Amino acid sequence: MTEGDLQLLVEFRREVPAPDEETARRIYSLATSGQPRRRLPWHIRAGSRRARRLVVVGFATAIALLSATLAIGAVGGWGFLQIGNGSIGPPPKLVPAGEVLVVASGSWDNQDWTLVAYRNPDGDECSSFLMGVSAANAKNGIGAISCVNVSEGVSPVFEAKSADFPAHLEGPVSADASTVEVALSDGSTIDAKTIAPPDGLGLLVRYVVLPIPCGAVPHSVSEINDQGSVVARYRIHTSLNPLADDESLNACD
Amino acid sequence: MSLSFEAAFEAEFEALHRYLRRRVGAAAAEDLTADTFATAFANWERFNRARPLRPWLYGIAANLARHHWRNERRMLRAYARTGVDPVLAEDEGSVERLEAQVRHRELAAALADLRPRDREILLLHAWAELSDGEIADALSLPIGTVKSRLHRTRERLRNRLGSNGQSVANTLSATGKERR
Repeated sequence: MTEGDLQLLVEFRREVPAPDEETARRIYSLATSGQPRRRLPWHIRAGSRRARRLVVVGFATAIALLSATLAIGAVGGWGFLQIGNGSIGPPPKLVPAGEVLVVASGSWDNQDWTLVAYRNPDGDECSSFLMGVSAANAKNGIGAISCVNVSEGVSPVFEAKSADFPAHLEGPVSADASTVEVALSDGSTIDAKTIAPPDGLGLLVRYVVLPIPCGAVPHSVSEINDQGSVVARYRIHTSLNPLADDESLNACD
Repeated sequence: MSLSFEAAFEAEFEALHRYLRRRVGAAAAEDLTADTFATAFANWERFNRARPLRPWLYGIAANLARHHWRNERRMLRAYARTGVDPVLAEDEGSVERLEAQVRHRELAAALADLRPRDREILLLHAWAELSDGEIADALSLPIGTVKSRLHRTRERLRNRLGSNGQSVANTLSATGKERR
């Protein structure tokens, strides 16, 4: 690549207009309010009439689908509808209130990963899976963050395959779980030992981190204690498409 | 003299917002910019002021933005295919700026095909103007890894753009200004 190529790249970025003062003021007040996520009202984000119309139609469709799903689920007794904290509230604070400690680290396909844990200002237990970061470099502990109040239930998250990282399951499981059995969409299962939390934070969970072989996505997770009894079983959800069995999220090359 | 958060916001907001908007579009850029500064604000007292601010901020942004890699690639591919820049198309009344520019479409296609982490390193270099050491600091990578990946990515991009016809070759030779 030549300096001319770099110039082309710089031009490409220069086309983007500078944000106006109102945007700057809005973002400054959001950033300093202590509530970093989901703060922008939809009518501010959806600037055009077409976008607003799409949001309204999408919202109405989502409500209709959710109602239908809940109705069918209630009749059919779907277990996964009973999982979760069961209440809708403000998003949790995501920033660390104290130490950020390494839970586990490793390397897949020559890419380092590190799972870190900490408590947020509300005392919730937070974990953050850092892709491409080794344990020695995980000092910031800031990545895709999940914070939970343990009394309201915990579960790991499925992350779809990306260009340089395999699909994987990561996050907290209950403190009683010594192993998990993950049922995949192709009918196979994977067993994995759970990981103890780091000392010093009084965390009430254990953790699981495991790569998912390509061609399948996780269906459900069974948490199993030392006595071999199942202590929890739930459908797994994806961060991209909740409740989807979309194997394209983990297609083989 | 100690840098205040307000001064840091003033100094870095516009560049970070434009960087993120170019990468993930306006709506996601607003969220990510706010989240980045919110995280910085919450950790401001722990930030070592002796270190440069920009790598720290862009490191936070990079971690927060990694869930948008697929969306970024989709937008780049859409631009390459249609010639309509989805980032600029979000602005009403900007139609005159949407004329397809062949070289930018080819560049978008080439960027879309890069591995996400390689694209990240290249764009931190080209758009955020971070040095190799600052990129290493921002992404918590060894500096040798950053240097080798940046070299390899620039090589790959040059080959890709160079193989796409004379128009790009002409463009590249005509824009040979020294950077910084």
